[in-house]
Amino acid sequence: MYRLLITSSFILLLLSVSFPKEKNYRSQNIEFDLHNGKKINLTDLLDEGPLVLQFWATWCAPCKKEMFYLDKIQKKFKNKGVNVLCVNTDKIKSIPKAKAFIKQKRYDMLVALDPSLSVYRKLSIALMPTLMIFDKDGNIVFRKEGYISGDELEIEKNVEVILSNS
Amino acid sequence: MLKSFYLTLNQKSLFSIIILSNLIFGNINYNSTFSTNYGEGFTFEKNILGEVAKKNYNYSQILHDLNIYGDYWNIFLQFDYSQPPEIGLNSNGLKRYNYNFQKDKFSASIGDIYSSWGKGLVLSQYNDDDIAYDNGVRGVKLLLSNDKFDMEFLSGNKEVFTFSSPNIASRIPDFSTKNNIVGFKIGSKLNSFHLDLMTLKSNEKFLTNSFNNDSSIATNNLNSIYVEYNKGDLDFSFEIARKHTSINPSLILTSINLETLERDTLIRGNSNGLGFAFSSNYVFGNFSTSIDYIYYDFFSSSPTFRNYFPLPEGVTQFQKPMIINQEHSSELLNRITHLQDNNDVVGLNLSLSHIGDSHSIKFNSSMSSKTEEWYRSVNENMISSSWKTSRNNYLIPSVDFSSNPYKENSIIFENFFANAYLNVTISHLEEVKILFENDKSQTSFTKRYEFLKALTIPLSYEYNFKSNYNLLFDITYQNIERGIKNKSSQFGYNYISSYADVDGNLVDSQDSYAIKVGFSNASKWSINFSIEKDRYDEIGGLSENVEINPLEKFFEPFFNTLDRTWIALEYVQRFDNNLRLSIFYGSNKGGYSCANGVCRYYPGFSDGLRFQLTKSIF
Repeated sequence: MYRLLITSSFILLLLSVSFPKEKNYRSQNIEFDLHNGKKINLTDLLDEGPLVLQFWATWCAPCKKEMFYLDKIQKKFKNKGVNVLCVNTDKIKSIPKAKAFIKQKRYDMLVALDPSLSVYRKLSIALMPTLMIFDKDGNIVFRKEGYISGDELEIEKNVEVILSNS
Repeated sequence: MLKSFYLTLNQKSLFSIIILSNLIFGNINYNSTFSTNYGEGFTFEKNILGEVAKKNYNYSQILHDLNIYGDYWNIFLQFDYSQPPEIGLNSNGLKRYNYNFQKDKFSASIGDIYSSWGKGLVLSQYNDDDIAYDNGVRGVKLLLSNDKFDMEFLSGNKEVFTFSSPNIASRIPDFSTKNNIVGFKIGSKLNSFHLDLMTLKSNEKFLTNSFNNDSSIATNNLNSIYVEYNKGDLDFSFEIARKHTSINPSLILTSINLETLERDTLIRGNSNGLGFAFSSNYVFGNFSTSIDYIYYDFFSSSPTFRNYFPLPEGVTQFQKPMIINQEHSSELLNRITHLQDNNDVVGLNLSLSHIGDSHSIKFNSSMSSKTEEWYRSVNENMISSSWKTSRNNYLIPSVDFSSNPYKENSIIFENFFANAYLNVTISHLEEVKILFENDKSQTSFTKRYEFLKALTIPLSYEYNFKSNYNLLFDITYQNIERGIKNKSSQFGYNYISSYADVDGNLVDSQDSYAIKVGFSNASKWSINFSIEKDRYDEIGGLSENVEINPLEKFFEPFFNTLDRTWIALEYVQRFDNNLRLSIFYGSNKGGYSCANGVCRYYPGFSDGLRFQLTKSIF
């Protein structure tokens, strides 16, 4: 147990100190299938401004709780070019339930479907919900896993910082 | 075990570290996630003599996902070092990979391919490590699309591992089929409409029995049409699919009626099936409605025949069609999730919601049954025939017990207050799980079936203090009636419950409680304490607490008995936005758990420790 912890800690330390470089996703071909049948590209979204991207599923209660606040963030910052996009990861068999949930909640934010987890894999998501914020240049400036009540304040703060720096 | 794990880690993970190190100083973009899952504890099981046997329950796994990006390409690599994982097969190196090239309207992928079409009546691929399931194929996928048309071609091979029954307590899948598929889809968009035509051929090689290596190949041809309409407040979509299966060499099934000594031989060579799925949503003012309907008759079979395994005439490993039953987040509700039989089901789901600025209320009603009602006729010598259908091809789910009816009604209320959150669900579920007998003569009858009825009420309340601290309180109450019902003209009504009191007397129903109390600091940490308690013993289950762990010892003064009680503590720490640690200590009840339409039995976990460490690099 001790050796396992030491080894894991060593690798994590190595990874933590070795990655100061910012990565630009603007040029990547990441395309989202929106729930209304349309498609949208990451670059097109970034052209409008910063992007808040969240991954969720119908069985994930914390995800749905977080979405209530994300929609409020979308409404608050929409006129400043900020987009909030929630990517649903339910399998095809549950997609009608996801679509019904989206319709029932009448969200202003964008919602995409990713039943085969192609975007999920491209962004190395491991847990749900995972949320990341891209600045206008396509850099991920904030990322977190899981949702604890109050996280929405930190998300909003990060969006405000990005807007003030741009 | 730890020693070998440690050695594996040091030898094999060097490869990942070398790749990563190169990338750090290179010009290619990448992102990566590294997670460690570790658990150790004990399970206790009863043997056939009723004696309690203690078994180790350990797992250790390191998962490393790596994505490398160029201008028009992307490489995905997943490394898995597990000896063993919590569920599934051991892995020691590269587990999944994919190379994708995309430019303008053309895309090509080589490696592990996942694709989903329409409503899943022909193709739905995914991997779900929680249930050790992966039906992605290793092969090639080509995609060409513009604003009006899209075309997709895919082909590949896959050995798909599954559990032959959800009752199997093993953590390693016990059945596999070797598959190859080739499929083509062409789609067209016109204003608010989308039309897809799909065709897929799969060959499935499977072992015909468990005592030698005889195998057979099922060739499946699937064709379907998918239509979707989406405009403003209304959307609807449907898919119609036809399936033809031929088995080579044919399977020969022989059975002997022990009462008449007549021999019945069934040759299983060809079968045809069809499926239809529809769903629609409509919003009006603050209200919205949803309607879902399914009719799957891919392979309907008698109550005896449907239990045979393998069943190559049924849906393929690549068909994961839309479900009608409800899926909930609450653990006690999840444990009794209805498992839809995609070979043979007709189902309907209706829901109505009202939403305000901060609240919503939703009424949901689901029902389904087999597409046929079944009975056996009894002659004057009291000898029963083979199974026959009394009614079939009905379009609305039957409520007759001989068609395995399921229905669930639920109300979900949710409110976001200024500093609090409340969610209350009331769910009522009834289903006939297994049909044993439905024998009729002109003067008598016998009915025997396994029945489940449950009322479940989960309530979740969370209060946010202004200093960013939160208090969480979850409580769930569940009442379950489960057992075998017998009704006969000769012996009247009789019910054999699955629950008993401490003296061994049967009781009609079980009462279960699950309580979780949590305290958290937003964005930093959270701690959750959970207790689950059953009032009565489950017949055949393990009810006594054979090993009281230190956490349970601490809470012992608060309970009359720690039997049928499971206590656990979980702590989550976010060190920064990219590093998360979760530690669990205590016991889990185990039992059925369902994910992605697959339910399986998990052994109880006693005096156990689990930890999960996740690091993301982007």
